[in-house]
Amino acid sequence: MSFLIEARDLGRWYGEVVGLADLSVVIQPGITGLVGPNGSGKSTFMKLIVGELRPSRGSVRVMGRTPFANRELYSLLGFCPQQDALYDHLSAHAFVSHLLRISGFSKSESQRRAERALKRVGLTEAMHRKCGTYSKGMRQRVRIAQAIAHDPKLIVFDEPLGGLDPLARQQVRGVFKELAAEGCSLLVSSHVLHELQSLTDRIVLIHRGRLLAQGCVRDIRSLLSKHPRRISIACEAPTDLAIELLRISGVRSASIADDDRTLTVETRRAARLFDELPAIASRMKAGITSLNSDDENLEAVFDFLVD
Amino acid sequence: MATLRAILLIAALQVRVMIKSVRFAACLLMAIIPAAIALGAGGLADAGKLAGGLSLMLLMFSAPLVGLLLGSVVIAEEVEGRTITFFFTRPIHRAALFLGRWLAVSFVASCLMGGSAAAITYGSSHATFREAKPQLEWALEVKRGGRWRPSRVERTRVAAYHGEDGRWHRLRISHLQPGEIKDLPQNENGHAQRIKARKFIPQTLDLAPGFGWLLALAASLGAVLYTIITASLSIFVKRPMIFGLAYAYAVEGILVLLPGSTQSLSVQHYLRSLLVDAKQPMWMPVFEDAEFLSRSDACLHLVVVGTALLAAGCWAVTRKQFVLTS
Repeated sequence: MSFLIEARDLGRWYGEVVGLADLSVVIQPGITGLVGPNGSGKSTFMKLIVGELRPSRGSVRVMGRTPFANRELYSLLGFCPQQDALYDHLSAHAFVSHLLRISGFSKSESQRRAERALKRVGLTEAMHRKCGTYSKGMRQRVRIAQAIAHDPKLIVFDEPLGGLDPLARQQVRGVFKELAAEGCSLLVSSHVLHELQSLTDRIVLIHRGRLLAQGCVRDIRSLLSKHPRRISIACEAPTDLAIELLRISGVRSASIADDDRTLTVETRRAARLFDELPAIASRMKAGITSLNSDDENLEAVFDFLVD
Repeated sequence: MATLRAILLIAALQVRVMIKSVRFAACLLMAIIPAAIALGAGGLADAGKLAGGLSLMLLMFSAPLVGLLLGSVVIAEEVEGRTITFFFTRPIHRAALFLGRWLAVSFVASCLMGGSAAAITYGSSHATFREAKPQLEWALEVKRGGRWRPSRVERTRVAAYHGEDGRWHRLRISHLQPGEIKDLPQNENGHAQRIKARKFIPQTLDLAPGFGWLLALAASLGAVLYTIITASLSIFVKRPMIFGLAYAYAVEGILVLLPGSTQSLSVQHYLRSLLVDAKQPMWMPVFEDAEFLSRSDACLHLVVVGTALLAAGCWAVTRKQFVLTS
């Protein structure tokens, strides 16, 4: 059976630094989320997939082909790199249409496709302005546009939502869904799991260059539910609040920081804590000023899964 | 065809990006300085000397520097700017990026150097016709056996002679007229001596036929070859300029001073071979004690070396992995 992406014992070293170690994974067509904390090897894996790098060991095949310097594959592949790199002297339209012309499209077709791709990512107004004048989010959208403009069959997005404001994120997620509906396969990386949840049910978790888990978000979520969550509460009466919160089922510990205003609670049943907290806070007149959870930080979850 | 098309498109993009860069402005300055000297200050000097001096400046300073500066952007700039990914994930041969960008920089470099050479030639020759004064030929004559015998004939404006005290003395002779004689004190051997003004020599254009074309060819070819050197280096190192400068100004500087065939290891040797038939007075110290190739052989050597380096660059860029940091 031919897979979209197939990696076997894939390893890549940068000198003595291990970027990826013995990663074996199979990715099917559709949208797949590649999740891992910073430095886990996501970008290295993506660079191996798009043929920017060669494996130090093992193999990777994309649509049945070895990717490094494979021109045939690049007609079917789009890549949106993480690096904030563009030609600042060129407009987004000139940049994207030039890349299309290099790919073999005629001048008029390149301009038409560039315009369409830039409109799709919400750069209709600014497409003829020089890239040097763009915000970080706009530059990110230009990179997304160049990856989708030639209608590839597989598009690899390395942290595509980073630097985008909530509205732009929503818009880009919409574009991803449209592309998937058109039959395009997407591999999207992020270090934030919930960013990908609304996009896809299929997740590949990698950590320290190895495959940690692969499957649907529900399965991974069930793993996460076993992980005790840490919640920081800034309030005026942390001691009284701590006593009350420790009575809630699932709360394992509570500690007060040196500033006597920050209470950190560890619980296995976060939902229950969040349900009961407003009433307790009101009754205790705790004066809560902020509430933070480390849930978005996957590093803690990965540590938990690795252990 | 697809690769050729990609090369030309990349070259066009590179020219468009490059002409707005500080690097290009610096190269333009390198080309303008010798040209401006020739056009502006040319009337104050001797045509042959001016053209010779500025040619040396163009070949030994401007052409290498412009070539190295522009060539170093070919791959290193794409890697440093992390834009190389956009090209390496397109359905084109990887070497197309190298060749396209090199084509652009070599085109710009040869235009700058060719233009500068043309300006030097034009400025030197026209300035001479406009303001050059005829030179006075004079002889230092010494009386021996009752007869005045010329000991040396020169065209300088100041005469130098030995006095009785054995030291050098100077005498301005520019006010003398042909046939006029100026007696001097005896020399240290007790012989009488004098200066005799002979005749005015009209100063003619001292540039050899085809000098301008040859200078433009040598400067352009030189700049192009130096772009190839740094372009190839830029595949392997982050700062190709440093290695390029070390080669052009340190290694070559030594090589051209060495006698024998070691000179053939320098680009300058071949560039000078192109001009050997059109040598200028200022060139004489450079051309002395050196064996040069014929013009066609020099061209052939430059083309072969350049093609070999380009081929090596294409091979390397096709195989090399460029690790881009986030």
